[in-house]
Amino acid sequence: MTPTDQTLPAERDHHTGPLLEIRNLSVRYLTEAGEVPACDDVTLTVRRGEILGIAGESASGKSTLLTALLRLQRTPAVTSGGEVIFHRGGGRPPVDLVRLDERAMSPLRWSDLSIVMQSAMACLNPVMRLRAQFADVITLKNPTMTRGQVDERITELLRMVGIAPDYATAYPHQLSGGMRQRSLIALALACDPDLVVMDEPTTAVDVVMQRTILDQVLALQERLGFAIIMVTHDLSLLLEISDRIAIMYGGRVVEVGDAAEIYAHPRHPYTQGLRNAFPPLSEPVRRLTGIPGTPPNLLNLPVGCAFAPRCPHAQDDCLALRPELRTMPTTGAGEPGLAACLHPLDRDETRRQDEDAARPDAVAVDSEALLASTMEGAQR
Amino acid sequence: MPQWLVFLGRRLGIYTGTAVLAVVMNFMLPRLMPGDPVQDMFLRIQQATGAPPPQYLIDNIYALYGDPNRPLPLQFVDYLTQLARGDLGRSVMQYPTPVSELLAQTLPWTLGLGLITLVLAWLIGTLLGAWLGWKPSGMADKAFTPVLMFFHSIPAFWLAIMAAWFFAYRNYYFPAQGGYDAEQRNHSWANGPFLTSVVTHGTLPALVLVIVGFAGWLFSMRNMTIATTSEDYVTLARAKGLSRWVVLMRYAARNAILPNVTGLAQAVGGLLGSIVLVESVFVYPGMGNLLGNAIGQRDYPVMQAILLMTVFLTLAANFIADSIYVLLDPRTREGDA
Repeated sequence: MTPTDQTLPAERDHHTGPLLEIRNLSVRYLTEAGEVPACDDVTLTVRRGEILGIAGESASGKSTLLTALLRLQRTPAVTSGGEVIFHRGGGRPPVDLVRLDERAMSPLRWSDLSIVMQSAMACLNPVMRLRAQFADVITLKNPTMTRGQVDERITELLRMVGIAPDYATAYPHQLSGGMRQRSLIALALACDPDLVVMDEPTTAVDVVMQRTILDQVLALQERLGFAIIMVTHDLSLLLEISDRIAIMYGGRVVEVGDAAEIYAHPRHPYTQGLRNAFPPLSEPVRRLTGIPGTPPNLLNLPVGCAFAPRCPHAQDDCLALRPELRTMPTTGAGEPGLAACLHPLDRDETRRQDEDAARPDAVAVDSEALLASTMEGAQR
Repeated sequence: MPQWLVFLGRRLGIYTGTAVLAVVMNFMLPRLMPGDPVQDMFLRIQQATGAPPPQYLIDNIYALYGDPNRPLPLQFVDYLTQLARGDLGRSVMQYPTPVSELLAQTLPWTLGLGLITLVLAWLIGTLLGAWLGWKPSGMADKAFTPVLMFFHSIPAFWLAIMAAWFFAYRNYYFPAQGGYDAEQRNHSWANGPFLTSVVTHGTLPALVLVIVGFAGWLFSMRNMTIATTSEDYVTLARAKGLSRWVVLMRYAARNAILPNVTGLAQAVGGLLGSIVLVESVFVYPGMGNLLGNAIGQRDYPVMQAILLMTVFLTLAANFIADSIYVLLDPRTREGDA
C-alpha cells in the first residue's frame, strides 16, 4: 500500500499532483465560555488517489476538520482562517473551498467531494426509501439520466458493496447496521467523486463487519481511484490502510508522514503513545500501554506544547515553547515526515523500546479497556 | 396481515371502547349531578303561572324528557334506542326544539369558522416554524420568537373583546356580532349578498382564532426543525449539494412535521373547546355559543349532545391522525420498529 509498491493497478499510479491542499486552516467554536480553537493552523495535503489517515483522541479536532473541509459545519463552528485548495480534475482551475460561496460550492458537492459519516442509521433519512436517497443526488448531478438509467446506477452501486438490489425499495430501518454503513459508502460513490471523506466509517459496526467494509472500501478505491481522508481514533487500523498518516492533538497536527515510517519510527511521543495503545492488526502482540492524562482543555491550552503535561519525555522548554511542524531527517525510501516536537524521538530509541516490548513475557492487553481505564483514571 | 393493519385495528378497538365508555358516562353524569332540569322547568312554570303544573303537563314533560322514577337500566335502554334513532332529546332553554335541530343549525357555522381558522393557523405556524427553525438564533428567529411568545400567551377571549372594541365599535370596519347580516332572509350559498355578509362577519372571529392559534404550531415546528436540522441525515443531504429547499423540505421538514400532523388531527377534535369563548364574544351562531348558553342555563340535553359529539369527533380525529402517521412514517408500518 506504499507509493513505492510496483504491483498497484494503474489508477493508483496517479499519486502525482495534489488533490486537496489544506493550508493553515483554523476552525473555532464560538461559545459563551470563549473561543474554542478546535482546529488550529492545520496544514495537510491529499494527493490524487491516496489514502490519508487522520488519527487522534476524542476532541483532537479531527471531525471538526472534516466538516470544515466540506463546509458542513454549523454555528457555532466558524472557519476563522486558512485555505483549502481543491484541484479539480478535467483542467478546471483550482478553487479555495473556504472562500467559495454556497452556490459555487454545490456543483462540487458529491460529484467531486463526498462523505461517509459515522452513524449510518442517523445518516439515512428514516422516511425515505433507499432508492430515493440515491436517486435525488444522482438525478441532480446527471440531469440527462432517465429513470431507468438512475435505477440501473443504483443497482450497480448497491452491488458494489454487496447489497442485493431489492433493498433499494427498503426503508433504512429495514436494513442491518452493516448494510446501512455499506449503503452509505455506495451512496458516497454515486457520482464518482475524486475525494471521499470518511469519518470513523466502521466505528459503529462489529469487528468482522469492520473488516468486510474496509476490504470493500480498499477494493473500490483501487478500482475507481478516488482519494480518501479517513478519520479514526484507531491508529492501527489506519496504519494498515493508509498511504500517509496525520496525527492530531489538541486541534493541531503534531505529526505527518508515511504510514510505514510512522508505524516503525514515530517521532512524536504522542504518536508513539497512540500506537502503543492499540494492538497491531497483523503483527505479533506486544505490550500495550495507554497514554496517561486527558486530552487538553481547548479553552485553556498550555503555553508550550499541548502534549507536554502528559509527555514522558517533556523537558523544561516544552512547557514554554510551542513547537511548529518541521521536517524530520529520514533514511528510508519514503519522503521525510513532519513532526511538531522540540525533542523528537530518536529512531534508535523507538526501536529499542519496541524490542523491549516484544519480549516473550509481554502480555496482551485489551486495548479498548486499557484506553478506557486510562481515560477514566485521568478524569478522576 | 400487514403490521400496520394490526396497528390500526388495535387503535380502532381502543377508540371503540372509549366511545362506549363515553356514551355510558354521558348517560350517568347528569343523573349523578344535583339539580334536575325538569324540576327547574316545573319551578319556572310555577313562578310564571303561580300554580304548580297540572298533572297532564307533568306527564307530558316526563314523556319528552324521560321519567326519573323509571329504573336506571331501563332508562339506559331508552337512552340507547333514542341515540340509535339520532334523537338527542329536546332543548330546555329553547323548549321544545329538538337538540339535533339546534346542532344542525349551529354545526356548519362552527365547522366553517373553526376548520378554516385551524387549517390557516396550522399552515402559517408550520411554515413559519420551519423557516425560523432552519436558522435558529438568526435574525428572523431573534426578532420574531419573543413577539410570537407574546401572541401565544394572549387569551382568545381577551383578544376577541379587544378586536371587537377596536375594529367594530371604535371603527366600523367589521360588524360587531352575528354570523351574517340579519336583513338577509335568503340563506342560500348562491345568494351573493348573504355570502358577503358571512365573510365580513366571520373575518374578526377568524382573525382572532388564527392569531391566537398559529403560534403554538409555530413553536412546535420550530423546535422540531431545530432538532432535525442537527440530524446527520440533514448534514448528509447538505453534503450532497441538494438545494436548500430540497434539504429543508424533504429531509428536515418532512421529519419535523410528523408531530404537527398528528397534532392537527387531534386539534380538530378539540376544536369546540377553543372556539366557545370567541363565539360568545362575537355572538356567532355556532356550536360554541350554543354550548356557552347551554351551560349558563343548565340545558343538560344540549350539553350532553355536544359533549358526546366532541368525544366522537376527537376519537375520529385521533384515528385519522394514526392513519396519517402510518402513511408518513414507514417505521410505524413495521412490527420491529
